[in-house]
Amino acid sequence: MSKPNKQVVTPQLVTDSQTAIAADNLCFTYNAKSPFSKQALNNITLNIKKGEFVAVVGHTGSGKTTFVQHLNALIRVQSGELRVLEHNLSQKKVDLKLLRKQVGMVFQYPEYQLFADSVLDDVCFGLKNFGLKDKAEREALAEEAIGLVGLDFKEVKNKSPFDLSGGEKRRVALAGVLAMKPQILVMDEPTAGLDPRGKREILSLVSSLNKEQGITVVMVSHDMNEVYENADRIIVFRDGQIAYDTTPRDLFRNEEDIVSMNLEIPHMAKFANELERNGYIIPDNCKTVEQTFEAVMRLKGGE
Amino acid sequence: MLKDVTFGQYYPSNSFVHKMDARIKFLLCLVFMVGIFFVQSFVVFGFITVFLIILIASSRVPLKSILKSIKGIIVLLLLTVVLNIFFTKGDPEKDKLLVSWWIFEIWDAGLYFAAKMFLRLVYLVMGSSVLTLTTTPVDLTHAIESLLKPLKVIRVPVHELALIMSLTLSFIPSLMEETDRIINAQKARGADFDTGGLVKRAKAFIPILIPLLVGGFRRAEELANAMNSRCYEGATKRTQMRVMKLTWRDLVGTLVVLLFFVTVFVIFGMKSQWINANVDWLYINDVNWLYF
Repeated sequence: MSKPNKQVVTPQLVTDSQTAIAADNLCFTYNAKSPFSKQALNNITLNIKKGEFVAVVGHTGSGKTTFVQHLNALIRVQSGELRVLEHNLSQKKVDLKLLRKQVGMVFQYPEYQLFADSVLDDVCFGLKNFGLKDKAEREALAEEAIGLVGLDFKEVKNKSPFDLSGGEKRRVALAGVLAMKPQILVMDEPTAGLDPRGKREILSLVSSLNKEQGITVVMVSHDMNEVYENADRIIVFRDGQIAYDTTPRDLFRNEEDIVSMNLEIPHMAKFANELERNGYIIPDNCKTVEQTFEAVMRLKGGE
Repeated sequence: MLKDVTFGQYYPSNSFVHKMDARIKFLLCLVFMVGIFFVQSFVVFGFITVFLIILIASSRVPLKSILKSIKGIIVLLLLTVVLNIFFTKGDPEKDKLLVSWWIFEIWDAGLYFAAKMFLRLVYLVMGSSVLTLTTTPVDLTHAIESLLKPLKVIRVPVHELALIMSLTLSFIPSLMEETDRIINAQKARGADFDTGGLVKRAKAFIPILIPLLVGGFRRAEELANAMNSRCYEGATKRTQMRVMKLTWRDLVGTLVVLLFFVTVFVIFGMKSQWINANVDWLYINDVNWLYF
């Protein structure tokens, strides 16, 4: 694919042990020097802390997928600087195995990557690749991961992954990534094409991984409602640049600008904005129907 | 990685060659390919080189993209050259034996023959890649369909064949994209395609091939359903959105190419007696340039 170009290393990028991902002036151009050349990333600078739940949103072709593919070196840095955990991805030599073990990547429609004879084999594929020799240990990790995604290990482990339903396949694929116990979980539209219930289950799983195990989550999504309710922070990409990098509540106060970027306003954000315009101040962390309801009740009760 | 494949890679531009009718380009390409196999002497190869340079210049496709297509046949090229060098037995009365070692003999005739074969293959690929780089795959299929039309009389399902071709072509980019995505997904799970022995490397491709095959079948089925639900019926009374028309460019292009080939072949290519009689001036210093 692309070879990293020679670059000027900028010494400004300071990271500490709390930083999961730090980018400084990251740029990337597809098919450089050809008539198809297209700049996908333009001076991306950001810092994501360990344990954050960050959503990356933007219109199609805004560079979100290109950015997240940088995070485990599937796309190498062309110019600018990028650090992920202890790795400096701007350098030529990167411990790819370790990086990819630490940064679990769930692609769009991950069920299309399944290939093995049995669910167990497929989930163990990553573990095997990362050098876990002991079969029993692998199976224990796989059992844990399959349990996490809400499947019955005993029932599915010997089934062919192609015999499962679409939603189950996606969980198996997710389990294949979770089994590696990543520190950062990068997901590209993990809920696309799922029914509402499947969506909710995947999101609550991701949320609990983030809250309980402290996994840093970077999630690309088109669904503003799920982003609004789950993420701590939203980064909006527009034409390869970061247009906004703020909390969900703050972001969706800019209703007109969001709509102009072809993004929709989440229902609850609209409702909260309307409440604010009418003089009700509700806390920024009230994002679900229940939370907002409680907040409004408290306000009412205080009156 | 896979984005480097030139096949079917249309190079957008607005040049003379781009604007020519796809059918004419296709036919001229055939003339070129057949013609190349009749070329016997290096002098004529020189003329073909000039022709290719003019053609590539007028198509405004960078030489780099054309040379890229040669990368694909490099193994074939090497094999041809090596085999021809070692296994061409020269005529002891005419040719010189250069090297003789064990069962191998290298004759000067073998070297010349290998060089000619090399040029022939390279020019063949370059010529045809000019066609594919300046013509969109869709135009190309339309051209083939249009050229095969006469076969309808003997009940050849021309339209269906063209459809199969254009579907195949349209599947290539999406399958390549999917391959790229699957490779990335497996890499993210630690798959390693670049190290290990032959068996290990071959095995490493299973996690790519199986999802790709499954995906291919899925796509084919989806496409069949989509076509059925739109009542696709094959060739009956279908019209085309873009009707191909011949223009002055096609006339000029055809004349230039045909004139060039006819002239070159009449003067140099043929070995028949009456031509030799007319080109005595080519025998300089006892070297027969016709056969050189």
